[in-house]
Amino acid sequence: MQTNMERRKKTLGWLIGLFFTLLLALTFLSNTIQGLSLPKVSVQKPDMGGLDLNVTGDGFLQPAHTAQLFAEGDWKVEEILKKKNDRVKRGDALVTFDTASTRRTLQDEKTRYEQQKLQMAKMMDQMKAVLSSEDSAGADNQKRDLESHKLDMQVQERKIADLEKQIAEGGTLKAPVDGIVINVNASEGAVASRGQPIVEIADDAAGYQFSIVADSNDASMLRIGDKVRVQLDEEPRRSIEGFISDIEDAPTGGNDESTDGTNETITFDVTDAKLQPGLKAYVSISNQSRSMGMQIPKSVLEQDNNGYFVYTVMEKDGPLGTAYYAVKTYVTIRDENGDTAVTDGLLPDEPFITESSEPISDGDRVRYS
Amino acid sequence: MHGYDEGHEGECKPWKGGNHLIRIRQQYRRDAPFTLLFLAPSLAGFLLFFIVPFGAVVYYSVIDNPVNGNFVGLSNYEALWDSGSFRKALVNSLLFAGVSVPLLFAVSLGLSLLLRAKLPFRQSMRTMFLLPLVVPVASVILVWQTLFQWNGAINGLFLAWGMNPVDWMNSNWAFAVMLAVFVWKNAGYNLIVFLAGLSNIPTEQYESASMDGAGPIRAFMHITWPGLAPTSFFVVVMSIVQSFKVFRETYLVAGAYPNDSIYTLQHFMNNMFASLDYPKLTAAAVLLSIVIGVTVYVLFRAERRSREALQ
Amino acid sequence: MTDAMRKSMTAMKLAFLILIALAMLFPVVLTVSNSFMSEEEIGRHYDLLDGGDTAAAGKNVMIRLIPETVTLSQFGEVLLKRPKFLLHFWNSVKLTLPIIAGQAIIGTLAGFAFAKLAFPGRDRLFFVYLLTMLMPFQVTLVPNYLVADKLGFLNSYGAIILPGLFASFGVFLMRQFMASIPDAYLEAIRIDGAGHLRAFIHIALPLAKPGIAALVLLSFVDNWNMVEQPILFLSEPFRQPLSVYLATIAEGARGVAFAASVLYMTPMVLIFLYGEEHLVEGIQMSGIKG
Repeated sequence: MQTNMERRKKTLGWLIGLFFTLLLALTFLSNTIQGLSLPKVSVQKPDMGGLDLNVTGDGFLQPAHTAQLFAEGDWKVEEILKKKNDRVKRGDALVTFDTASTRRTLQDEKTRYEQQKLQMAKMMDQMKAVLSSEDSAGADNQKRDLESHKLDMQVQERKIADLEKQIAEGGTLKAPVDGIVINVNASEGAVASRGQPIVEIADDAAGYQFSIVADSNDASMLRIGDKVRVQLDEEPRRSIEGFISDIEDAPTGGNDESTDGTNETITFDVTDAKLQPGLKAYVSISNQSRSMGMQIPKSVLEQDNNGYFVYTVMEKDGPLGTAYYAVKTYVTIRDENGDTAVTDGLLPDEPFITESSEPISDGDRVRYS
Repeated sequence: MHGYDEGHEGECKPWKGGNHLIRIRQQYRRDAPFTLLFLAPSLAGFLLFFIVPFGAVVYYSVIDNPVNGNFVGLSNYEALWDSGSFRKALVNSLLFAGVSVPLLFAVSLGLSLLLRAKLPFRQSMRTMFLLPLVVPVASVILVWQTLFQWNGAINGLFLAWGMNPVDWMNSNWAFAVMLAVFVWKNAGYNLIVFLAGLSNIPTEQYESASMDGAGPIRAFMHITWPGLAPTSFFVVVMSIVQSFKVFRETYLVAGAYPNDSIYTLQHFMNNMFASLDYPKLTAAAVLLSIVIGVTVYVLFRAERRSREALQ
Repeated sequence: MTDAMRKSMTAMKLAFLILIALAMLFPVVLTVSNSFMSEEEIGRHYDLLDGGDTAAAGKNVMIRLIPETVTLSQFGEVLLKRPKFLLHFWNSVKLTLPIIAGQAIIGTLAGFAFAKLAFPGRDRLFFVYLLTMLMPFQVTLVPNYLVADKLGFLNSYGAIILPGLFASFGVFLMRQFMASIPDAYLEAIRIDGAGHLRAFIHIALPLAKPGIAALVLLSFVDNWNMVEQPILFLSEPFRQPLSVYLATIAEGARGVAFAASVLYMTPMVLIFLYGEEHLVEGIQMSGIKG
């Protein structure tokens, strides 16, 4: 009986010790166990200040104005003097034509003019005869015929002058402006078509332009006429000054994955002596938005009936160590760009949750490293 | 025990005679430093946390408020007496003590008489009876709700038996429920005390009584009852202490404002504390202390008289 | 009385006592058995209670002692997923342990003084101790509150532990025990030239061990269950002991309340069973007029 009692006491003593040891161990492990089952979050602290509005992009320089040169006649191209991308000065010969066909026409016309002269002499003789016959009606008639013939001859004279000029000038196509040959649409020996320009020359004086597409929020601070630095993709790299010549809504490109906002097409004009069409140009414009506040990535913003909110992390010191809780914090959006929003409602050092391993809701305990 | 009795007599009867008195004086002197050593920690705390506060309670009960400290005589008591909720609470508390203490007394005495005989499982049953003492308040609440709520199990049984359900917690039945919980929790404690008291009664007394032809009732009246008198005193005292502690369960089940029938002085005092009505609270505390003091004193005298009658 | 009659009497007595014992045990059995139900099952059984008085009459919570599926999920939930439970558990330990230790030390010393030393006014002082033991906590609530406030203890465990150390019950119980030690033992060692201190250490203390064990048990039961002091003196919820926390869990998280209750009860029941004979002895002593 006594030993029985003692055994019972011993067992109970063990159980008591076991119970407290177990609870002690569980307490020791509680944070770990909690940690394993808690959603893991990544946090970030908001940056104070206005929103950086960055517009960057690149495009290929396009001439702002192109001089298009056409052949004066249906001539065979004799020689192409300047190739594409050749720099030309005003008055440089570009293409010479074989004007033989026109010269033959000129010959013909001159011959016809000689014939008309002969005709004229003949008509003058007839006139004299009529005047002497005193046939007044016949004389008037003869006079008018003569006048008409004189006019015909004048036309023929001009025609010849034209052709002569055509041969003299059109035989050689000359650059009307300083610039760069950007297109030659002819081959030697072939007849140049008159419907389309044979040579196109980018006009240095008019400059070049290029366009980029940017988020309209980012571009909100840009104005037409703003001066910008443009980087050129040249060896060595250099930058020149340009300005914004045009901002217009870009056509929405269907279901674009980038942003839900609208886009703008921004056109920049640059003027410089040594530019080439097709040159790659970069712009990077940084602006600060007018509104100041806490900057947070738009991706962390969530929305409910009461407005936009982010989850912030609240730290609570408990006897079991520090515990972190996700807290719904409502913010008001003051400004935004492509991926960042400026908000009110956050404290400068208040960490907000950027990522979480599982969906969280207000008041959830979370762990973060 | 003799040692105590000696001191006790020395204290109570110092007029007994010269020699004795001198011996007592010597004893005092000899014991003085040790008395101080042994008693000092307890006495210091007792003074700081019970006696001085009680003095403060008495003081607060006769001033208008702790900030002004103007003496207002007994007007706090008048205001207290005029308060309906105080009178209700006082009546309830007295009623509860008046009903619960005798009920518990009877139940535990009855059980102890039954358990006194040699029975199988006697030890295990004693353990079971004692177990409610260690069942935590919070578990009691769960069971309490399960049993006594309007949708609870007891009303379920009532309905099954074709009886009308009773709104246990929101009617005068709450008082009965509180009584049941009180008896359930404390019967074991008193049972143990009674069993000890019973075992102190010499069995020869019963043997001689039964030889005289006395029945069980007469044996109880003439042997058991007087033999239990000293035990009874402490059972009653401890029961009074415990009757105040049912407040825990009632408070956790029914909150600060339970049904009228179980709104006790402790509820009243807690609520006065919550509403910072210190004058009423302290006056009630003083009144309660007087009631308890007088009760205990009367019991004390009764016990002594019965013991003297026994000797 | 014939033998048969006596036997049937005994059987009837026994049956009656067992019935009562089972009724006594019922809350424990209910709590323990329901702690092995899944939260979902608890929810189904007890949703009527949370429905309040508006739920239709005629539908009542039934007592269910046998889980559909025995599971430890409640315990897992309480112990692994709710660090609050552990936090409040240790709160209770932090509150209870110092009080028990203090009461044992202070009570033993003062009990010895009251039982074995002679000093003027001893019995009257003891009567005052006895009276304060009877006073409900609320009587000295205001001054204790103000004292705690003055000492800067408010909202800390000091406000509860300090008055608890000096609770008169410890002194009362230890005095009863010390009084039961025969004077002759103490006289014997004193004749050898030893003082009160040695008499206390070598005689009284070893003999009072069961008394100290009983005091520890009773004090543990009392303080493990404390409700009034924490709700009045501690404002932060996370400082509350398990007793108060569990009362709130019963409302909000009934699904795990049973397991939490079982865990709460376990140390008390184990210690109770461990020291049962001391407890019984202690209770007996409290009822003996020395």
